[in-house]
Amino acid sequence: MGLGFRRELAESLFEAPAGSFDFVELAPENYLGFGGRRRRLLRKATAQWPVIAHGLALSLGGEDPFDPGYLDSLAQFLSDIGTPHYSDHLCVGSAEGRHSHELLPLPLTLSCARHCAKRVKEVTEALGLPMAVEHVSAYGCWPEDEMSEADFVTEVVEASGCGLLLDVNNLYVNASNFGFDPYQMLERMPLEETLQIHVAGHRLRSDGLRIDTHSEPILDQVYALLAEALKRTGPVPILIERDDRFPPLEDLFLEVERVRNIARRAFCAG
Amino acid sequence: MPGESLVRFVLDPNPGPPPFARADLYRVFTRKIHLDILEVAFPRFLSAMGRRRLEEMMDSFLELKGPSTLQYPCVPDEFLAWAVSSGHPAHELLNYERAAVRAERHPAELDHLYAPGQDERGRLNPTVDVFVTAEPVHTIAAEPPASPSSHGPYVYLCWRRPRTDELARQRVGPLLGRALGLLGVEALTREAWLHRALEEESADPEAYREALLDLHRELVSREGILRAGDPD
Ligand SMILES: [Fe+2]
Repeated sequence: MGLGFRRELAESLFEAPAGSFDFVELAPENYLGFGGRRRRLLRKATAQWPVIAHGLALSLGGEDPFDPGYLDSLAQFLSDIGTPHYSDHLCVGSAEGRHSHELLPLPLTLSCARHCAKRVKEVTEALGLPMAVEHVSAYGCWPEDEMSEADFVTEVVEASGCGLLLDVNNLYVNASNFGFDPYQMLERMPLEETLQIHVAGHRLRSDGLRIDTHSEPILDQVYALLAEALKRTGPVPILIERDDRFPPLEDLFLEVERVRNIARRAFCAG
Repeated sequence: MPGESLVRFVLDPNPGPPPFARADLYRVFTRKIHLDILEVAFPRFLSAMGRRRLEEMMDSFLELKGPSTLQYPCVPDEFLAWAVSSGHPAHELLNYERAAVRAERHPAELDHLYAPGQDERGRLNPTVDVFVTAEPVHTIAAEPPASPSSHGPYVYLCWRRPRTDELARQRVGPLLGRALGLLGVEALTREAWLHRALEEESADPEAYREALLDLHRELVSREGILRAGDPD
Protein backbone atom coordinates (compact mmCIF):
# COMPACT_ATOMS: atom_id res chain seq x y z
CA MET A 1 0.00 0.00 0.00
CA GLY A 2 1.49 3.27 -1.07
CA LEU A 3 0.86 6.99 -1.06
CA GLY A 4 1.73 9.65 -3.58
CA PHE A 5 4.82 11.53 -2.47
CA ARG A 6 3.52 15.10 -2.60
CA ARG A 7 5.81 17.88 -1.45
CA GLU A 8 2.88 19.36 0.50
CA LEU A 9 2.69 16.15 2.55
CA ALA A 10 6.35 15.21 2.59
CA GLU A 11 7.33 16.45 6.02
CA SER A 12 4.41 14.77 7.76
CA LEU A 13 4.93 11.55 5.81
CA PHE A 14 8.52 11.42 7.05
CA GLU A 15 7.21 11.68 10.61
CA ALA A 16 4.49 9.05 10.19
CA PRO A 17 4.75 5.86 12.28
CA ALA A 18 6.59 3.07 10.47
CA GLY A 19 4.22 0.75 8.65
CA SER A 20 1.55 3.43 8.06
CA PHE A 21 2.16 2.74 4.35
CA ASP A 22 4.68 0.67 2.45
CA PHE A 23 5.93 2.72 -0.50
CA VAL A 24 5.64 6.10 -2.17
CA GLU A 25 5.00 6.96 -5.78
CA LEU A 26 6.37 10.06 -7.50
CA ALA A 27 6.56 11.65 -10.92
CA PRO A 28 10.14 11.88 -12.22
CA GLU A 29 9.20 15.06 -14.11
CA ASN A 30 8.99 16.82 -10.75
CA TYR A 31 12.53 15.88 -9.68
CA LEU A 32 14.66 15.20 -12.71
CA GLY A 33 17.61 17.58 -12.87
CA PHE A 34 16.66 19.60 -9.79
CA GLY A 35 18.92 20.31 -6.83
CA GLY A 36 17.94 22.05 -3.62
CA ARG A 37 14.86 21.08 -1.65
CA ARG A 38 13.44 18.71 -4.25
CA ARG A 39 16.64 16.66 -4.40
CA ARG A 40 16.87 16.63 -0.62
CA LEU A 41 13.28 15.34 -0.33
CA LEU A 42 13.87 12.74 -3.01
CA ARG A 43 16.98 11.40 -1.27
CA LYS A 44 15.23 11.25 2.05
CA ALA A 45 12.27 9.45 0.49
CA THR A 46 14.42 6.86 -1.28
CA ALA A 47 16.32 6.27 1.97
CA GLN A 48 13.09 5.72 3.90
CA TRP A 49 10.76 3.80 1.56
CA PRO A 50 10.68 1.88 -1.69
CA VAL A 51 9.84 4.38 -4.44
CA ILE A 52 7.79 3.69 -7.56
CA ALA A 53 8.02 6.14 -10.47
CA HIS A 54 4.94 7.12 -12.42
CA GLY A 55 5.36 9.46 -15.38
CA LEU A 56 3.01 12.06 -16.75
CA ALA A 57 4.48 13.42 -19.89
CA LEU A 58 5.62 10.86 -22.44
CA SER A 59 2.52 11.42 -24.59
CA LEU A 60 2.41 7.75 -25.59
CA GLY A 61 -0.40 8.35 -28.06
CA GLY A 62 1.24 11.36 -29.67
CA GLU A 63 3.62 11.54 -32.59
CA ASP A 64 6.33 13.82 -31.28
CA PRO A 65 9.52 11.77 -31.30
CA PHE A 66 10.94 10.98 -27.86
CA ASP A 67 13.92 13.08 -26.88
CA PRO A 68 16.77 10.55 -26.50
CA GLY A 69 18.54 12.85 -24.03
CA TYR A 70 15.44 12.97 -21.87
CA LEU A 71 15.01 9.19 -21.99
CA ASP A 72 18.68 8.72 -21.03
CA SER A 73 18.31 11.03 -18.02
CA LEU A 74 15.05 9.34 -17.10
CA ALA A 75 16.67 5.89 -17.29
CA GLN A 76 19.45 7.06 -14.98
CA PHE A 77 16.96 8.63 -12.58
CA LEU A 78 14.84 5.46 -12.45
CA SER A 79 17.88 3.35 -11.82
CA ASP A 80 19.03 5.72 -9.05
CA ILE A 81 15.71 5.56 -7.21
CA GLY A 82 15.37 1.80 -7.76
CA THR A 83 11.80 1.74 -9.05
CA PRO A 84 10.65 -1.80 -9.95
CA HIS A 85 8.78 -0.54 -13.03
CA TYR A 86 7.84 2.65 -14.80
CA SER A 87 4.39 3.70 -15.90
CA ASP A 88 2.82 6.46 -17.95
CA HIS A 89 -0.57 7.17 -19.45
CA LEU A 90 -2.37 6.05 -22.57
CA CYS A 91 -3.08 9.56 -23.71
CA VAL A 92 -1.75 12.35 -25.85
CA GLY A 93 -0.10 15.36 -24.26
CA SER A 94 1.89 17.09 -26.96
CA ALA A 95 1.76 17.88 -30.66
CA GLU A 96 4.38 19.53 -32.85
CA GLY A 97 6.58 20.05 -29.81
CA ARG A 98 3.93 21.91 -27.80
CA HIS A 99 2.93 20.33 -24.54
CA SER A 100 -0.51 20.72 -22.98
CA HIS A 101 0.46 19.13 -19.62
CA GLU A 102 -2.94 17.46 -19.68
CA LEU A 103 -3.73 13.77 -20.08
CA LEU A 104 -5.87 14.05 -23.21
CA PRO A 105 -7.91 11.00 -24.24
CA LEU A 106 -7.11 9.11 -27.42
CA PRO A 107 -9.44 7.87 -30.14
CA LEU A 108 -10.14 4.23 -29.34
CA THR A 109 -9.07 2.74 -32.65
CA LEU A 110 -6.94 -0.23 -33.55
CA SER A 111 -4.41 1.92 -35.40
CA CYS A 112 -4.07 4.22 -32.39
CA ALA A 113 -3.61 1.24 -30.04
CA ARG A 114 -0.87 -0.16 -32.29
CA HIS A 115 0.76 3.23 -32.50
CA CYS A 116 0.81 3.42 -28.69
CA ALA A 117 2.19 -0.12 -28.45
CA LYS A 118 5.07 0.81 -30.79
CA ARG A 119 5.87 3.84 -28.64
CA VAL A 120 5.64 1.84 -25.40
CA LYS A 121 8.14 -0.68 -26.80
CA GLU A 122 10.49 2.13 -27.76
CA VAL A 123 10.35 3.61 -24.24
CA THR A 124 10.72 0.19 -22.59
CA GLU A 125 13.86 -0.49 -24.59
CA ALA A 126 15.31 2.92 -23.79
CA LEU A 127 14.59 2.63 -20.06
CA GLY A 128 15.55 -0.99 -19.65
CA LEU A 129 12.90 -1.84 -17.06
CA PRO A 130 9.30 -3.11 -17.11
CA MET A 131 6.73 -0.57 -18.20
CA ALA A 132 3.02 -0.31 -17.42
CA VAL A 133 0.37 1.81 -19.11
CA GLU A 134 -2.47 3.54 -17.31
CA HIS A 135 -5.86 4.20 -18.93
CA VAL A 136 -7.03 7.77 -18.27
CA SER A 137 -10.29 9.36 -17.16
CA ALA A 138 -12.20 10.98 -19.99
CA TYR A 139 -14.98 13.51 -20.35
CA GLY A 140 -15.77 13.07 -24.01
CA CYS A 141 -15.28 10.42 -26.65
CA TRP A 142 -14.02 10.64 -30.20
CA PRO A 143 -16.35 10.09 -33.15
CA GLU A 144 -13.57 7.83 -34.51
CA ASP A 145 -13.94 5.35 -31.61
CA GLU A 146 -14.32 1.81 -32.89
CA MET A 147 -13.63 -0.32 -29.80
CA SER A 148 -14.19 -0.31 -26.06
CA GLU A 149 -11.58 1.23 -23.81
CA ALA A 150 -10.85 -2.18 -22.28
CA ASP A 151 -10.21 -3.68 -25.72
CA PHE A 152 -8.02 -0.71 -26.60
CA VAL A 153 -5.94 -1.18 -23.45
CA THR A 154 -5.73 -4.93 -24.04
CA GLU A 155 -4.48 -4.36 -27.57
CA VAL A 156 -1.72 -2.01 -26.34
CA VAL A 157 -0.69 -4.38 -23.56
CA GLU A 158 -0.64 -7.44 -25.83
CA ALA A 159 1.06 -5.76 -28.76
CA SER A 160 3.77 -4.14 -26.65
CA GLY A 161 4.21 -6.80 -23.98
CA CYS A 162 3.93 -4.14 -21.29
CA GLY A 163 2.06 -4.31 -18.00
CA LEU A 164 -1.14 -2.61 -16.92
CA LEU A 165 -1.53 0.12 -14.36
CA LEU A 166 -5.15 -0.37 -13.44
CA ASP A 167 -6.80 2.76 -12.08
CA VAL A 168 -10.12 1.67 -10.59
CA ASN A 169 -11.18 5.26 -10.07
CA ASN A 170 -10.57 6.14 -13.75
CA LEU A 171 -12.49 3.06 -14.71
CA TYR A 172 -15.42 4.04 -12.51
CA VAL A 173 -15.37 7.66 -13.74
CA ASN A 174 -15.41 6.61 -17.40
CA ALA A 175 -18.09 3.98 -16.88
CA SER A 176 -20.27 6.62 -15.25
CA ASN A 177 -19.47 9.36 -17.78
CA PHE A 178 -20.19 7.13 -20.77
CA GLY A 179 -22.96 4.96 -19.31
CA PHE A 180 -21.15 1.61 -19.09
CA ASP A 181 -21.17 -1.03 -16.42
CA PRO A 182 -17.82 -0.69 -14.61
CA TYR A 183 -17.73 -4.41 -13.80
CA GLN A 184 -18.09 -5.33 -17.44
CA MET A 185 -15.30 -2.91 -18.29
CA LEU A 186 -13.17 -4.43 -15.57
CA GLU A 187 -13.92 -7.92 -16.82
CA ARG A 188 -12.46 -7.09 -20.24
CA MET A 189 -9.31 -5.40 -18.94
CA PRO A 190 -6.03 -7.38 -19.22
CA LEU A 191 -5.93 -7.76 -15.44
CA GLU A 192 -3.44 -10.64 -15.46
CA GLU A 193 -0.84 -8.15 -16.71
CA THR A 194 -1.40 -5.70 -13.84
CA LEU A 195 1.80 -4.33 -12.31
CA GLN A 196 0.16 -1.75 -10.11
CA ILE A 197 -3.23 -0.33 -9.11
CA HIS A 198 -4.35 3.23 -8.44
CA VAL A 199 -7.32 4.21 -6.29
CA ALA A 200 -8.47 7.79 -5.86
CA GLY A 201 -11.40 10.08 -5.30
CA HIS A 202 -13.13 12.27 -7.87
CA ARG A 203 -15.65 15.08 -8.06
CA LEU A 204 -19.24 14.71 -9.20
CA ARG A 205 -20.52 17.81 -10.99
CA SER A 206 -24.11 18.93 -10.74
CA ASP A 207 -24.67 17.89 -14.37
CA GLY A 208 -23.63 14.33 -13.48
CA LEU A 209 -20.19 14.45 -15.08
CA ARG A 210 -17.46 12.92 -12.93
CA ILE A 211 -14.13 14.75 -12.93
CA ASP A 212 -10.98 12.91 -11.89
CA THR A 213 -9.60 15.39 -9.36
CA HIS A 214 -7.69 13.24 -6.86
CA SER A 215 -8.94 15.74 -4.31
CA GLU A 216 -11.83 13.86 -2.69
CA PRO A 217 -12.22 10.78 -0.49
CA ILE A 218 -12.46 7.44 -2.31
CA LEU A 219 -16.05 6.39 -3.10
CA ASP A 220 -17.50 3.14 -1.73
CA GLN A 221 -18.22 2.06 -5.30
CA VAL A 222 -14.52 2.46 -6.16
CA TYR A 223 -13.48 0.36 -3.15
CA ALA A 224 -15.94 -2.31 -4.31
CA LEU A 225 -14.43 -2.25 -7.79
CA LEU A 226 -10.99 -2.60 -6.27
CA ALA A 227 -12.09 -5.69 -4.35
CA GLU A 228 -13.33 -7.24 -7.56
CA ALA A 229 -10.17 -6.35 -9.47
CA LEU A 230 -7.88 -7.86 -6.86
CA LYS A 231 -9.46 -11.26 -7.37
CA ARG A 232 -7.78 -11.38 -10.78
CA THR A 233 -4.71 -9.21 -10.40
CA GLY A 234 -3.26 -10.98 -7.39
CA PRO A 235 -1.12 -9.02 -4.94
CA VAL A 236 0.31 -5.94 -6.65
CA PRO A 237 1.32 -2.55 -5.25
CA ILE A 238 -1.78 -0.41 -4.66
CA LEU A 239 -1.48 3.34 -4.50
CA ILE A 240 -3.87 5.95 -3.16
CA GLU A 241 -3.62 9.05 -5.33
CA ARG A 242 -4.32 12.26 -3.45
CA ASP A 243 -3.06 15.42 -5.12
CA ASP A 244 -5.12 18.25 -3.71
CA ARG A 245 -7.33 19.37 -0.79
CA PHE A 246 -5.26 17.19 1.50
CA PRO A 247 -7.11 15.83 4.52
CA PRO A 248 -5.39 15.22 7.87
CA LEU A 249 -2.88 12.44 7.42
CA GLU A 250 -4.89 10.20 9.78
CA ASP A 251 -7.76 10.27 7.25
CA LEU A 252 -5.41 9.14 4.49
CA PHE A 253 -4.15 6.36 6.74
CA LEU A 254 -7.75 5.25 7.31
CA GLU A 255 -8.07 4.92 3.53
CA VAL A 256 -4.81 2.95 3.51
CA GLU A 257 -6.20 0.63 6.19
CA ARG A 258 -9.44 0.14 4.32
CA VAL A 259 -7.54 -0.79 1.15
CA ARG A 260 -5.32 -3.15 3.13
CA ASN A 261 -8.39 -4.89 4.55
CA ILE A 262 -9.90 -5.23 1.09
CA ALA A 263 -6.66 -6.73 -0.17
CA ARG A 264 -6.44 -9.14 2.77
CA ARG A 265 -9.99 -10.32 2.17
CA ALA A 266 -9.44 -10.68 -1.57
CA PHE A 267 -6.34 -12.80 -1.13
CA CYS A 268 -7.76 -14.91 1.66
CA ALA A 269 -10.88 -15.62 -0.41
CA GLY A 270 -8.73 -16.34 -3.46
CA MET B 1 -2.84 10.55 -35.39
CA PRO B 2 -6.18 12.22 -34.80
CA GLY B 3 -5.43 12.50 -31.05
CA GLU B 4 -3.06 15.36 -31.73
CA SER B 5 -5.90 17.51 -33.01
CA LEU B 6 -7.09 17.68 -29.40
CA VAL B 7 -3.72 19.12 -28.33
CA ARG B 8 -4.03 21.75 -31.05
CA PHE B 9 -7.60 22.41 -29.97
CA VAL B 10 -6.62 23.04 -26.35
CA LEU B 11 -3.67 25.30 -27.22
CA ASP B 12 -4.53 27.15 -30.44
CA PRO B 13 -5.78 30.74 -30.37
CA ASN B 14 -8.70 30.09 -32.74
CA PRO B 15 -9.10 26.37 -32.53
CA GLY B 16 -12.13 25.82 -34.72
CA PRO B 17 -14.81 23.28 -33.88
CA PRO B 18 -14.03 20.88 -31.01
CA PRO B 19 -13.02 17.36 -32.12
CA PHE B 20 -15.72 15.92 -29.85
CA ALA B 21 -18.39 17.07 -27.41
CA ARG B 22 -17.00 18.51 -24.16
CA ALA B 23 -13.48 18.86 -25.62
CA ASP B 24 -13.70 22.50 -24.51
CA LEU B 25 -13.38 21.24 -20.91
CA TYR B 26 -9.80 20.25 -21.70
CA ARG B 27 -9.12 23.76 -23.00
CA VAL B 28 -10.30 25.11 -19.66
CA PHE B 29 -8.24 22.58 -17.67
CA THR B 30 -5.10 23.31 -19.68
CA ARG B 31 -5.42 27.00 -18.98
CA LYS B 32 -6.10 26.41 -15.33
CA ILE B 33 -3.06 24.25 -14.67
CA HIS B 34 -0.82 26.71 -16.47
CA LEU B 35 -2.25 29.68 -14.65
CA ASP B 36 -1.88 27.80 -11.34
CA ILE B 37 1.82 27.23 -11.80
CA LEU B 38 2.48 30.76 -13.06
CA GLU B 39 0.67 32.27 -10.08
CA VAL B 40 2.87 30.30 -7.73
CA ALA B 41 5.99 31.13 -9.71
CA PHE B 42 5.41 34.88 -10.02
CA PRO B 43 3.67 36.16 -6.87
CA ARG B 44 5.13 39.67 -7.14
CA PHE B 45 4.07 40.05 -10.72
CA LEU B 46 0.66 38.79 -9.67
CA SER B 47 0.25 41.32 -6.88
CA ALA B 48 1.76 44.22 -8.83
CA MET B 49 0.10 43.64 -12.19
CA GLY B 50 -2.96 41.59 -11.32
CA ARG B 51 -4.31 38.20 -12.27
CA ARG B 52 -5.87 39.49 -15.47
CA ARG B 53 -2.47 40.58 -16.87
CA LEU B 54 -0.89 37.25 -16.00
CA GLU B 55 -3.77 35.37 -17.56
CA GLU B 56 -3.53 37.39 -20.77
CA MET B 57 0.19 36.73 -20.95
CA MET B 58 -0.35 33.04 -20.30
CA ASP B 59 -2.92 32.86 -23.09
CA SER B 60 -0.50 34.50 -25.51
CA PHE B 61 2.27 32.15 -24.41
CA LEU B 62 0.12 29.03 -24.83
CA GLU B 63 -1.21 30.14 -28.15
CA LEU B 64 1.89 31.67 -29.73
CA LYS B 65 4.48 29.25 -28.46
CA GLY B 66 3.29 26.78 -25.84
CA PRO B 67 5.50 24.87 -23.43
CA SER B 68 7.92 22.49 -25.06
CA THR B 69 9.19 21.09 -21.77
CA LEU B 70 7.92 17.74 -20.56
CA GLN B 71 8.52 18.90 -17.02
CA TYR B 72 5.59 20.87 -15.64
CA PRO B 73 7.73 22.61 -12.97
CA CYS B 74 9.83 24.08 -15.80
CA VAL B 75 6.86 25.75 -17.51
CA PRO B 76 7.51 29.11 -15.76
CA ASP B 77 11.08 29.07 -17.13
CA GLU B 78 9.79 28.68 -20.67
CA PHE B 79 7.14 31.31 -20.04
CA LEU B 80 9.89 33.67 -18.90
CA ALA B 81 12.09 32.85 -21.91
CA TRP B 82 9.13 33.63 -24.16
CA ALA B 83 8.47 36.93 -22.34
CA VAL B 84 12.14 37.90 -22.77
CA SER B 85 12.30 36.93 -26.43
CA SER B 86 9.07 38.70 -27.23
CA GLY B 87 10.35 41.82 -25.46
CA HIS B 88 7.48 41.85 -23.02
CA PRO B 89 7.77 44.94 -20.79
CA ALA B 90 7.39 42.85 -17.61
CA HIS B 91 10.16 40.39 -18.40
CA GLU B 92 12.66 41.95 -15.99
CA LEU B 93 10.32 41.54 -13.04
CA LEU B 94 9.55 37.95 -14.06
CA ASN B 95 13.26 37.28 -14.34
CA TYR B 96 13.88 38.74 -10.89
CA GLU B 97 11.30 36.40 -9.41
CA ARG B 98 12.48 33.34 -11.28
CA ALA B 99 16.12 33.87 -10.28
CA ALA B 100 15.27 32.56 -6.84
CA VAL B 101 13.88 29.32 -8.27
CA ARG B 102 16.82 28.89 -10.64
CA ALA B 103 19.20 29.20 -7.70
CA GLU B 104 17.09 26.97 -5.49
CA ARG B 105 16.89 24.20 -8.10
CA HIS B 106 20.44 24.51 -9.40
CA PRO B 107 21.79 20.96 -9.59
CA ALA B 108 25.19 21.75 -8.00
CA GLU B 109 26.00 19.74 -4.88
CA LEU B 110 26.89 22.22 -2.16
CA ASP B 111 26.69 20.52 1.18
CA HIS B 112 30.43 19.84 1.40
CA LEU B 113 31.27 23.49 0.74
CA TYR B 114 31.92 26.12 3.44
CA ALA B 115 32.72 29.80 3.48
CA PRO B 116 36.46 30.47 3.08
CA GLY B 117 38.64 31.62 5.95
CA GLN B 118 40.70 34.83 5.83
CA ASP B 119 43.50 33.51 3.63
CA GLU B 120 41.71 30.77 1.81
CA ARG B 121 40.75 30.93 -1.81
CA GLY B 122 37.06 31.37 -2.48
CA ARG B 123 34.83 31.47 -5.50
CA LEU B 124 31.24 32.37 -6.15
CA ASN B 125 28.70 29.86 -4.92
CA PRO B 126 28.01 27.71 -8.03
CA THR B 127 24.28 28.31 -7.75
CA VAL B 128 24.66 32.08 -8.06
CA ASP B 129 22.22 33.44 -10.57
CA VAL B 130 23.23 36.83 -11.93
CA PHE B 131 21.14 39.09 -14.07
CA VAL B 132 21.30 42.71 -15.01
CA THR B 133 18.36 45.02 -15.52
CA ALA B 134 17.92 48.61 -16.57
CA GLU B 135 15.05 49.08 -14.09
CA PRO B 136 15.16 48.61 -10.31
CA VAL B 137 12.80 45.64 -10.44
CA HIS B 138 13.01 45.01 -6.71
CA THR B 139 10.98 48.18 -6.16
CA ILE B 140 8.19 47.37 -8.61
CA ALA B 141 4.87 47.40 -6.83
CA ALA B 142 1.22 47.95 -7.60
CA GLU B 143 1.63 51.62 -6.65
CA PRO B 144 4.67 53.18 -8.39
CA PRO B 145 6.94 55.15 -6.02
CA ALA B 146 6.35 58.91 -5.88
CA SER B 147 9.94 59.84 -6.68
CA PRO B 148 11.66 58.53 -9.80
CA SER B 149 14.12 55.74 -9.12
CA SER B 150 17.87 56.06 -9.48
CA HIS B 151 19.55 55.02 -12.70
CA GLY B 152 20.67 51.47 -13.45
CA PRO B 153 21.95 49.14 -14.53
CA TYR B 154 21.23 46.94 -11.54
CA VAL B 155 23.01 43.67 -10.96
CA TYR B 156 21.01 41.11 -9.00
CA LEU B 157 22.51 38.00 -7.48
CA CYS B 158 20.62 35.14 -5.94
CA TRP B 159 22.02 31.89 -4.58
CA ARG B 160 21.22 28.83 -2.50
CA ARG B 161 23.13 28.31 0.72
CA PRO B 162 24.66 24.91 1.48
CA ARG B 163 22.97 22.58 3.95
CA THR B 164 19.97 24.81 4.72
CA ASP B 165 18.88 25.43 1.09
CA GLU B 166 18.10 28.95 2.26
CA LEU B 167 18.05 31.54 -0.53
CA ALA B 168 20.01 34.76 -0.41
CA ARG B 169 19.85 37.82 -2.61
CA GLN B 170 22.24 40.68 -3.13
CA ARG B 171 21.99 43.75 -5.35
CA VAL B 172 25.17 45.50 -6.47
CA GLY B 173 26.17 48.21 -8.91
CA PRO B 174 27.80 47.35 -12.23
CA LEU B 175 31.32 48.02 -10.96
CA LEU B 176 31.08 45.59 -8.06
CA GLY B 177 29.17 43.17 -10.26
CA ARG B 178 32.11 43.04 -12.67
CA ALA B 179 34.52 42.53 -9.79
CA LEU B 180 32.44 39.61 -8.50
CA GLY B 181 32.57 38.12 -11.97
CA LEU B 182 36.28 37.45 -11.32
CA LEU B 183 35.26 35.02 -8.59
CA GLY B 184 32.93 33.27 -10.98
CA VAL B 185 35.77 32.13 -13.21
CA GLU B 186 38.54 31.60 -10.71
CA ALA B 187 39.06 30.90 -7.00
CA LEU B 188 40.99 33.73 -5.37
CA THR B 189 42.01 34.75 -1.89
CA ARG B 190 40.43 37.97 -0.74
CA GLU B 191 43.71 39.86 -1.23
CA ALA B 192 44.27 38.46 -4.71
CA TRP B 193 40.72 39.37 -5.65
CA LEU B 194 41.10 42.93 -4.31
CA HIS B 195 44.30 43.30 -6.23
CA ARG B 196 42.79 42.08 -9.48
CA ALA B 197 39.64 44.15 -9.11
CA LEU B 198 41.54 47.34 -8.30
CA GLU B 199 43.81 46.72 -11.26
CA GLU B 200 40.91 46.53 -13.64
CA GLU B 201 38.98 49.64 -12.59
CA SER B 202 39.88 53.30 -12.53
CA ALA B 203 37.42 54.19 -9.75
CA ASP B 204 38.60 56.06 -6.61
CA PRO B 205 40.86 53.30 -5.21
CA GLU B 206 40.22 53.93 -1.52
CA ALA B 207 36.44 54.07 -1.72
CA TYR B 208 36.38 51.19 -4.18
CA ARG B 209 38.60 49.05 -1.94
CA GLU B 210 36.26 49.71 0.99
CA ALA B 211 33.23 48.74 -1.07
CA LEU B 212 34.95 45.57 -2.30
CA LEU B 213 35.89 44.58 1.25
CA ASP B 214 32.35 45.16 2.51
CA LEU B 215 30.88 43.12 -0.29
CA HIS B 216 33.36 40.28 0.21
CA ARG B 217 32.62 40.17 3.93
CA GLU B 218 28.89 40.19 3.25
CA LEU B 219 29.01 37.43 0.66
CA VAL B 220 31.32 35.24 2.74
CA SER B 221 29.03 35.57 5.74
CA ARG B 222 26.03 34.55 3.66
CA GLU B 223 27.86 31.79 1.74
CA GLY B 224 27.64 33.56 -1.60
CA ILE B 225 31.38 32.98 -1.72
CA LEU B 226 32.50 29.47 -0.88
CA ARG B 227 35.84 27.89 -0.24
CA ALA B 228 37.48 26.65 -3.42
CA GLY B 229 37.01 22.98 -4.14
CA ASP B 230 35.28 20.92 -6.73
CA PRO B 231 31.65 22.05 -6.37
CA ASP B 232 30.31 18.84 -7.89
FE1 LIG C 1 -4.05 7.04 -11.76
